[in-house]
Amino acid sequence: MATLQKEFEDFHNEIKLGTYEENQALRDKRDLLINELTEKLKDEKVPGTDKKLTFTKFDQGSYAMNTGIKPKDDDYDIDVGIIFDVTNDEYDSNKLKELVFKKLNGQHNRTVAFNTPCITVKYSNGYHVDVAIYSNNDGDYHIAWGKRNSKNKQWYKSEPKKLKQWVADVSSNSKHAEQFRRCARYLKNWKAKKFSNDGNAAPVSIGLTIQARNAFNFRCDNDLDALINIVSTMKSEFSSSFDFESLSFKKSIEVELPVKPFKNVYYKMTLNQTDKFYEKLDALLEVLKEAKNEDSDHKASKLLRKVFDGFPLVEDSKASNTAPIIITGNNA
Amino acid sequence: MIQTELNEVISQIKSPHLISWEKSDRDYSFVLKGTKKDWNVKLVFSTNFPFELPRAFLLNTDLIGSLAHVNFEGHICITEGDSLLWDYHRPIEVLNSLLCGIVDLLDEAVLKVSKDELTDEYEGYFQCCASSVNSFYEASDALEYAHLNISQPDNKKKKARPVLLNNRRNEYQDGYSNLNKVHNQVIKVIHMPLSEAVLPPKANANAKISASYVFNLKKFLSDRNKTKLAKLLHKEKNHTQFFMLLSMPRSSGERSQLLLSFTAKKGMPHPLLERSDEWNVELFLPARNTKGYLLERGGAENSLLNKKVAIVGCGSVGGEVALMLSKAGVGEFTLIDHDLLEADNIYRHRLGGRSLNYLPDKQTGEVNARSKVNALASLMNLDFPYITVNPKQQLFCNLTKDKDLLLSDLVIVAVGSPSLNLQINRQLKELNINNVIFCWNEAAGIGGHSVLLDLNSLCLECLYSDENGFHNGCQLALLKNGQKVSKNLTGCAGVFTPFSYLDSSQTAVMASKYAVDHLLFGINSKAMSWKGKNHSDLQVTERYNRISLKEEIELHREDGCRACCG
Repeated sequence: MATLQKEFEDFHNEIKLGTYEENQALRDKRDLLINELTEKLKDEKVPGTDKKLTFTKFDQGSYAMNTGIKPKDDDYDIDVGIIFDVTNDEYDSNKLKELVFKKLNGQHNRTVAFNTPCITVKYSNGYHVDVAIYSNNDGDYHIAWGKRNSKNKQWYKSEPKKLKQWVADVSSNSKHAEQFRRCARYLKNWKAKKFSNDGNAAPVSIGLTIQARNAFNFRCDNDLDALINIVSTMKSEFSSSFDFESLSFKKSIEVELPVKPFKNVYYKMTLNQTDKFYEKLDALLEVLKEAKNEDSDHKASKLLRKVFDGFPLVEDSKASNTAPIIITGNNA
Repeated sequence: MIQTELNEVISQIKSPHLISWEKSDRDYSFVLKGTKKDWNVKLVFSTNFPFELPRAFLLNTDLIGSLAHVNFEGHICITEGDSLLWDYHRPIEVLNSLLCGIVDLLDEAVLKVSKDELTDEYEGYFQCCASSVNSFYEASDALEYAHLNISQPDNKKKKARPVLLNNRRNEYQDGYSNLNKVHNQVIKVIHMPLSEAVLPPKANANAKISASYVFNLKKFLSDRNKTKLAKLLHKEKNHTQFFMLLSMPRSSGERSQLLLSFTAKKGMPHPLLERSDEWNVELFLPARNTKGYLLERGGAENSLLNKKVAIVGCGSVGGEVALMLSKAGVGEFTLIDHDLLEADNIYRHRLGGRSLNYLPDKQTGEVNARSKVNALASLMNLDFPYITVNPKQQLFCNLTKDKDLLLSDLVIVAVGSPSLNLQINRQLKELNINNVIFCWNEAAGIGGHSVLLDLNSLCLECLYSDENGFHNGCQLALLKNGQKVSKNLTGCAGVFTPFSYLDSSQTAVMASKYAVDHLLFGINSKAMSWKGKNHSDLQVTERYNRISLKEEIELHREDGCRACCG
């Protein structure tokens, strides 16, 4: 029975990306944009008033939740929330979003996109910053939702800080919380390895974090077991839906955001995509269980490398200079 | 190994997985215990065993087509690696180990997670039963026409054979190989790009792939491609033969591809238009000639393709460097040398007799030698499909305003002459061309040098300088100055410095490695020397006696260098 706890922890140390507090590079990238926005908005007023348009920023997303992993090719995905000191009635959501878009647009080294939940600033050297815009109605936050020409553009009730707190509240015991965060990161590494980046083929990371948080059960010195428990629960949350196109049953899933607006976090995925999600999760669970049942740590680590990018390979204790067949790598 | 010896070896196998075995001639069938199921496996031995490993086949035929690393014929891909080393003195243990390896491989292949590996091997699965067709076609996820060059046999009853698959525009270098002689009929064939990878059909002795299987794949097209397909199929008339290119994504981002030839006895609608099993389907695997594939497969670096290298001096060292860097994947060359290729050169220059000219010019009657740069350019264009060569039959000093030279990422100077090296060193500094390699041989196979410089930091003249200024002894020198090392066989007109092709090749390897290190990793300011035997009993320097067969040193600016500090 393999646990490979040391290998799991080594692996975690390799993939882990710290919080903004821990990572100067992330902080710098974030602050560069926020400072620029502060400067560019300094003469702006709330429409129809003399009130200055001011905002405060807060960190959101996986780095803020301490569940971030190192991106491939330095393609950092930085999430930042901007809470304007305006109520929903004081500023139209789309107009405020447009204002931020215009202020950030037009720099030669980046492109700016007007997306449904945020303004995305993509830099030519790889990373991008997602800026979500909120109103503040006496501590009640609403996000500026919708694309420019969307029918559904409005202030939308949102509780980003509460969500961050909900994830942090997984356990008051730090050892337990650390294991949860490791498991969330393993799942994100699996996602990066096994899903295409095209459209909505991959489940959103916050969905994996919420599912992991819901299912998490501490297993002392055994991340493998903790992960098997999470993945088993995630798998059981799928249900069968009839697909009229293929005339077959396919797997679908809905996972509710634990804070307002309590929407399904996987709402963008099609039935085909949730079916593939299930298929890959099922394959992951099979590998995790096989690895657990494996007597040889070498073979168990080989199996885990099929689902985790960069999982350490345990040396084969049977491989030696006296093995009758070995791979040399020699060629001519 | 003869049959009785082989029987003896097999009977002594003690694999923990072995349940039973039986033999038939030189084939042995084994029942092996796996983690979740028993595996029926056949080993086929040649008489060369144990110097050659047996081939392994899966006999659980119902699983063929659903397991990674098992092809259409059931062949298990386990002993195919070139780099395997086995102890032929211990055949029993070799077979024990082989059987364990087979069980491990099959146990892993049956896991759901291995499905990706099987779909990634879609081409490999059919390799045993497919022919090959050369392809320059870059398959994307767009449904479109690919262009297929076909040969039509004289016997009209025979079907057309595919020759070459291509995009509309030929992106390879004009003059590459014998492509300009391929003048067959070109037809348009539908490229059907599936949006997701699919499993091959279950193994079927009657057909590798049926027309029905292909017809059913239409559901894996994106909505946009389904619409496009309907439009293209609308134009298709009945025929007795159709070609179609199938592709699907691989996890690495490339696409698996399979060219299908559908043939029937009578004219029928396109096989994607109407389902019919009257089609006989023949498979062709594209032999990729595309840019990215060829470079990676050949060990070259894709990222070098957009690099420009100028080579000043295309003699035996420079010519060799040009060819080596072509093989490394560098995409553009400017070759500078005013010299002509003569028969004198062919035993130490990369170019040989096929590049010489013995024919008189039709108008003047004179036999004109070819320039080294043009002969090299022809050879490089002939050998590499994705290369640009700008030959300049000029002296370096006449090219100081040449755009190709000025835009080079790296200049390699291989003129040999130390005085000319120093002159070019100064000219390059004046032109603000700073990334430079100087390389040269010493006489009589005593050694050679490659010097990688950033002329902003230091220059070649620093190697000839100390704090007191210039001296005429290079710090890398292996032979003492002042000796008569040149030879002549025919008088003064035939004076030459003796060194061989092998000497030049060694120097060229060092220069080429530095070039790649610099272009890929920005490495700079180093020198490497190689040392040969002193067979001619020449006077050697203290450095020659001190260094091993190869030495690399870091270089620093000399305060007394007149080129840097003057």
